[in-house]
Amino acid sequence: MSAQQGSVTFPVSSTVDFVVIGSGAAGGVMAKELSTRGFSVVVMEQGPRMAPTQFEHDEFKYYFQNAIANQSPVSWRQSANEEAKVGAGTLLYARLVGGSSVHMTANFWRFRPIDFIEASKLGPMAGTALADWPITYAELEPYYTKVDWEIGVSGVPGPGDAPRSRPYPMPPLPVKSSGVLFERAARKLGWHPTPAPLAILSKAHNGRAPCQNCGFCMQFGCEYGAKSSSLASVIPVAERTGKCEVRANSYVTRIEMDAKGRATGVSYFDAQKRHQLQRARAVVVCANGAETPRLLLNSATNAFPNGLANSSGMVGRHLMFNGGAGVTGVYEHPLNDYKGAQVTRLAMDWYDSDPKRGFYGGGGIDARFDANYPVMFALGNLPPTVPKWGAEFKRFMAHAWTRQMTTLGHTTSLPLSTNTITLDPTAKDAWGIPALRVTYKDHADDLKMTEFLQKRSNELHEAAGALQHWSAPVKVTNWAAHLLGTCRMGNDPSTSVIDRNHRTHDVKNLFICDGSSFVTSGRGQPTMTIMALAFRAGEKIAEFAKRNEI
Amino acid sequence: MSDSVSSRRTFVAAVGALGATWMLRDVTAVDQALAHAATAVSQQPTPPFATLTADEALQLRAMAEAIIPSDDGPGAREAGVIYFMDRALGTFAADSLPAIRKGLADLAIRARKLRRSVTSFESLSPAERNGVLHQIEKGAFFAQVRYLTIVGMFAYPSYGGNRNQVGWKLLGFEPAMTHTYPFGYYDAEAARGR
Repeated sequence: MSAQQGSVTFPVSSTVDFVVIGSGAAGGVMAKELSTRGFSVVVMEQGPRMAPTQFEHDEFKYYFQNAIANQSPVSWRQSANEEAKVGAGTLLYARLVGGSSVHMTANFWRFRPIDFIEASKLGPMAGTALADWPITYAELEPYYTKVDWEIGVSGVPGPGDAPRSRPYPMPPLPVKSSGVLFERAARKLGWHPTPAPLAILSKAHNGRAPCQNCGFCMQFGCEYGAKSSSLASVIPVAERTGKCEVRANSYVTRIEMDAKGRATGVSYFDAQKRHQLQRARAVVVCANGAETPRLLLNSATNAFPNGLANSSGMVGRHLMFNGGAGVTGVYEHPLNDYKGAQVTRLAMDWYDSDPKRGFYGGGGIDARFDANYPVMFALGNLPPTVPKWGAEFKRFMAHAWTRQMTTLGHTTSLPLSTNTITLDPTAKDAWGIPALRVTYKDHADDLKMTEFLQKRSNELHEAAGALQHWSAPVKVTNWAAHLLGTCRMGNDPSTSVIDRNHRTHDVKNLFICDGSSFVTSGRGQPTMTIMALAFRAGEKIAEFAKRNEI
Repeated sequence: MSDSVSSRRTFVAAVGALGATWMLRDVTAVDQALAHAATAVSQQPTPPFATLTADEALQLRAMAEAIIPSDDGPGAREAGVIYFMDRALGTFAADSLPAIRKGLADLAIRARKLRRSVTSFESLSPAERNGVLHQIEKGAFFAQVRYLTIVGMFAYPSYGGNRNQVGWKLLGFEPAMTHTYPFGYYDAEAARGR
């Protein structure tokens, strides 16, 4: 394969300092933070290594054949008394070096201080596990700034944004037609539109080229390396240390333990589906909010019968996705909004939960092309008034495709102990490992908040002068790309899986950092926070290792 | 849930209704289909169909032409959608072939019911074809053929359809590796200071 490779490979028989499981937003940053501090690191990645030149603009392959996205079975149900069915819902995450940071849309919102302390500000919320984080925004801020500068984020501070210690390293991308229409209408409505912060380079940064406006970000890989995936940004830095090996096509199925209750390494399938064992002094799980709990549950032992690091019973619980609903509108003139990055303008006027609305929740709305690539638009997002075939269908496609834009509301998801990742009792993946089972039903307030922002989206299109606009009704969620909350962080070992430094409460040399660490969902875009957590966790874990505290 | 929620959600529902399992199929099968289609497309004259019989191809093509007609410009016929269908039903969509054949048999019966003298759907007039398709447009067979027609019209030409990019030209999609600002009417207007 022509993909760039690191200079070091560790023999499978060796014991390295760290095995990091997953090479995505968290795993890539973790590998960089640990290896640049002198530790030997093997990063295990389920998927292949792809060079940027191997990415394509092939909508059918990337959206319909899951070319780089998860293809393993996932079963789905709304409540524990139902039988979960494979295909009843979808989890979307990428399987390749760089993980989902390769195919992300790259909306990089920082959380705000309120996100970390909402439970104490609002008071307890019956029937939910809404809780404060054990860390504050102020503690995480320096690491958000590291993300801005080391990963590469373009933007400009917006109204109500959290305080920052350093400016963005580069200005926002130029506004697209959707952004112009959004900004004009939002001002009419008294909102506060602002340029979207994106992990997409608006100018050359750290030796990487800026965005070329090809328009294929969401669910695609960037051929130019302008999207700030871990593959484009931190993984090359880790590999240049000569201390880090990213081992592609290596699917970890079990974390191995010794009799003293310490992790000794990981068992995995190599590219030929042969069993291998990689020993390490410590293990860091960065496999995502679905795969991380699945791995812990699949690593049960006699000493840990309910799954590893699960004495609290919290592994897999409090699954959160972020709610969202779009409204698509058609305008008089062509926007050609498929060109360029997805989003250039958004408004966060509903960030804080407002008791006047009558329900919990917060969020923001952006203007975007959305997934309305030619096949997706024709198959999945026609207005209900347009025939699905025939001359009128064809005329609509010809007129509307370049003239459409979507506004998408992004919202909170409440942490509920009944929303879970567990192991399916019968379904297995192609390696014979028990499949993911999702149990998920949105809290009523989450659906209300989503509907609330959908109404605001309707107002936006009306104020912007749309010829027509339409949307699908808000329903109970049956697919997700933001996988959050399933190994939550906390000070109390009986109600959380990891402590404030990402160490599992139960196993001293086992750490977890990814979307599963989240205590609350934020308002919609988690990757910025996943990366900030990983910068912070990497620093802490390296300190522990230096002091022989792992 | 996250980006592209509305479209994805609708799409997942649509695929569920079809019973299509393509999404979970091995990607290597798509690569084989691509290679196969590329070879076939480059051959002149048009090769015989690899999977469909000549008659099946005629009927399916007639359906595709009703779904995206060539009334005021190139449609499914000019895009060569039927060649995409032939490759797809022989490779990554092979599981769908029995259902397609069953649907075609039903289509022929419906055509004969409409006009006793005809032997096939394809020999009906365009208006009659539309009438028959309206009878079945809510069913799984029609949804599957519509799915194949749309993919054959708008996906990469390398899959065997969208010949000369007629599907993309219909929409106004420019498949360039780079684009320059302004992209559309409103950002151009804003750049002029309006």
